[in-house]
Amino acid sequence: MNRLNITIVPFVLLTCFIMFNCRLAGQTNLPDNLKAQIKELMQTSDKYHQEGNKREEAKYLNQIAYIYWEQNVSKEAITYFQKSLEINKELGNLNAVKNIYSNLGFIYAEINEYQKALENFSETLKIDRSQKKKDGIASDLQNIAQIRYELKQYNEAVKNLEEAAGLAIEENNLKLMQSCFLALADNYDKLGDTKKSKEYFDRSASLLSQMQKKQIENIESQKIDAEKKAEINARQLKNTMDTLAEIKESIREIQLRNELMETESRLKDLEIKEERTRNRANRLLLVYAVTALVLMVFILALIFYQFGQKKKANKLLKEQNQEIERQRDLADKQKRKITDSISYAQRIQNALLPPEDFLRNILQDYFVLYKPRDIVSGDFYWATQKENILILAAADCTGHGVPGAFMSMLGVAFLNEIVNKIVVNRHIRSLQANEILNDLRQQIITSLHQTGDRNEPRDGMDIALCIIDFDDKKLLFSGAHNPLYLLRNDEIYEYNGDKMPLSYHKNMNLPFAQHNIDLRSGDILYLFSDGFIDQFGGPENTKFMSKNFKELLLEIHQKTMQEQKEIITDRFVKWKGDREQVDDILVIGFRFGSKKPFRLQSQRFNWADKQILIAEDTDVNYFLLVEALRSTKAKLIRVKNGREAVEFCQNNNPPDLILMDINMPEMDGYQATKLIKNIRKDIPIIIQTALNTDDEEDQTEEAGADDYISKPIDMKTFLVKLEKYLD
Amino acid sequence: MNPLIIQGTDDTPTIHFDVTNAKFEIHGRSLPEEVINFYSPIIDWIENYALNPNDITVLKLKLFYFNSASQRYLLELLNSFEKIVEKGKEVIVEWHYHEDDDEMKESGEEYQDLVKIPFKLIAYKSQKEKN
Repeated sequence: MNRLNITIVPFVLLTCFIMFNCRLAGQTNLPDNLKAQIKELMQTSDKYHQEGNKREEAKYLNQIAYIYWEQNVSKEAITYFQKSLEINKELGNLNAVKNIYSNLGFIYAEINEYQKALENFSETLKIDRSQKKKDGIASDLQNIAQIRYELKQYNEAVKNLEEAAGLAIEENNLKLMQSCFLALADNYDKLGDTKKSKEYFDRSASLLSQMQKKQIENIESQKIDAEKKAEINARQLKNTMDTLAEIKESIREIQLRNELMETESRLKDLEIKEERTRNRANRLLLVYAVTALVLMVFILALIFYQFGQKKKANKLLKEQNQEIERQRDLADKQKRKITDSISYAQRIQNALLPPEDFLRNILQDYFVLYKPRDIVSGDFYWATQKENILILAAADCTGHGVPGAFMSMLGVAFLNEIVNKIVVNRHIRSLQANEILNDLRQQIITSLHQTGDRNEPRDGMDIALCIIDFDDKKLLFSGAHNPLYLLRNDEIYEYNGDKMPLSYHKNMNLPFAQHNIDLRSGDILYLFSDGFIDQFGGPENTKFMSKNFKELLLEIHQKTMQEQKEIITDRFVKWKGDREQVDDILVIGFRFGSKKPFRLQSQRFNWADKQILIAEDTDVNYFLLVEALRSTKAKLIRVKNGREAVEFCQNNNPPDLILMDINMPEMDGYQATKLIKNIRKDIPIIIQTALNTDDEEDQTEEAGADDYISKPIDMKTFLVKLEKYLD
Repeated sequence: MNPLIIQGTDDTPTIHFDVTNAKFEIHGRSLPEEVINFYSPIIDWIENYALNPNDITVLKLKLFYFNSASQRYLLELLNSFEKIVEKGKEVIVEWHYHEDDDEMKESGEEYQDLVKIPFKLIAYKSQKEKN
């Protein structure tokens, strides 16, 4: 509405000014108060001019112009507007410039200076066009058209109006449209186009009636509103009257009302409180809702995150699993390698144990129950035989598995060394069981450098060792912790070992005891480690214990040894159940026979077709060699010095082997060896040394001898050595 | 002195040494993989205790099984208690064994011979009592 008014006002003004053709009024006609006002304004303007405040100066010049214009003092109005125009142009105040041009247009139109009016309106149009102000443009075009109408330039006016009407339609400005249509009707009428003139007039009239209708509607609705308001007022008035009447009715009622009001106010307070509470509750609810929402978003985010993480984790897990599998494969491989290695070690350990045929040959009715806990064993058994004497031991080293097996190797090596040394140096029948244990204990302590230090690993072994003389039916027994059981006539005879081990010990300087036992045919003997009796199992997960073991033996000892082995094994398996085997197990049993064992001496070396020349000046030594070689049935020839040995080789069939002493009269063994090797290089010569020094070894080699043996002769190695050159 | 309490396993015995309550007990099975590692701290504890022992120390040993490696360390352990005796304080070893367990009885007898501590060899009826 406002915009419509603003655009229409100048046009209406212009129209009425032109219509009434107002006369230019002289300055002198101005009332005194205006004159004073103008004077004041001029002074102010001058003041701003001097200060250089152009904006204020222009503003006051404008005010002066407007006063003159209002008083129809057009010339002065034009003068002041133009002054202001110059300043506003300077300031670049485009809107002010536009307005002043527009004002000047109207003033010139008022005084019928249409050409100048046209110029000024054109300037206004230029600025509106530059500012793309459609209302302004339309309004300017209308003003220009009005001037053109006055100038009788109807065609140009029509052009301007059509453009203005187009803009009015665009802007949906009914009033502008209607005034444009009306002006167009006038111009076409002047142009003689009555048809178009009528058409535009009808459109204008139609628009006008529409606008009036709307106006009436507006007025009517305003009237209804007013009536409604009046009605409401009347009702309110009536209510007020009623209320007043009621108030008048009783003062008590007022008091009551007051009380009521108080109550109400209290109620209101409560309500407010309630509302606050509600608000608070609402706020709380809101907080909850927001929290829940945030939580939900968070959870969702978490779920998505975790989903991602899970995906990642799964990937990682997969990788880890692969790694674990790889590691497991590696571990399996390593375990297999170790197991393979230990299995191989087991073969070595088993190879060191007495061969079965060897034991069967001597013991005939016997069994060995040997059950390592972990492939290799800390338990071992050992046997050696000399003439009709058998030395048999069942030992239990500290530890089991590999460390136990290491100890067992040591035990085997030491037993071989000790027994062979004794056998070589003394008669076999002087051999004592406890003597072996004493030596063995010393060997272990020395070789493992046991000093009794608390932190040293004090490895050692328990053992049951017996020496069985098959000729005299005697048995010597010594034990370190481990006993010997003898079963005879359904009775058990227990020979306990000493309560000390084969290792560093408080009583290690005490010799082991020895039991002398007369054997009878049919006696059954058992040697064992504690693995069997210490096995946990049975209904109450207890140790098997020696008591049960003895009972078991008493129960089964009449059966064949092989049957006994099966029963004992079976009993062990049942007792153990699915529990772990606690320790290595070793049980040896044998029945002492009535008939002598087979000829014990091995018939391995048979050299009946061989001739051995012995160069030996000392009779004792010669006879020792004769004894040593007796079983081999070799043909022996004796010479007593080196010269004879050389001569024999020159004059007779060469011997298959020569055993050459070193220290001999007339010619020593080295000299003889050199000479013989010159004649018959192919005759093997073994030098017998006594001192076993490096010097002797060197000389032996220098002389060209094939080998040497140390005196006293170790029977076992002696024959083996000779075998190399005879077979 | 802080008590030394080690919970037993299938391979190691329970150790319960408590000076304040005058309780010194070892029971269970002894077959540790690393015997030294198991017994060294125990022996160290006893050595430390022997510096300032109670007037009377009763050591209750109730073992169902010990391997040959443990055998030696039990001796070391008893030797450490021996130091208390040397100080003039009283120590008694109660060696509990199952009535059927001749080996355990013999082991007790063996230790009795080896250390200068009075031993009480006490036979019990059932191994079930162990726990």
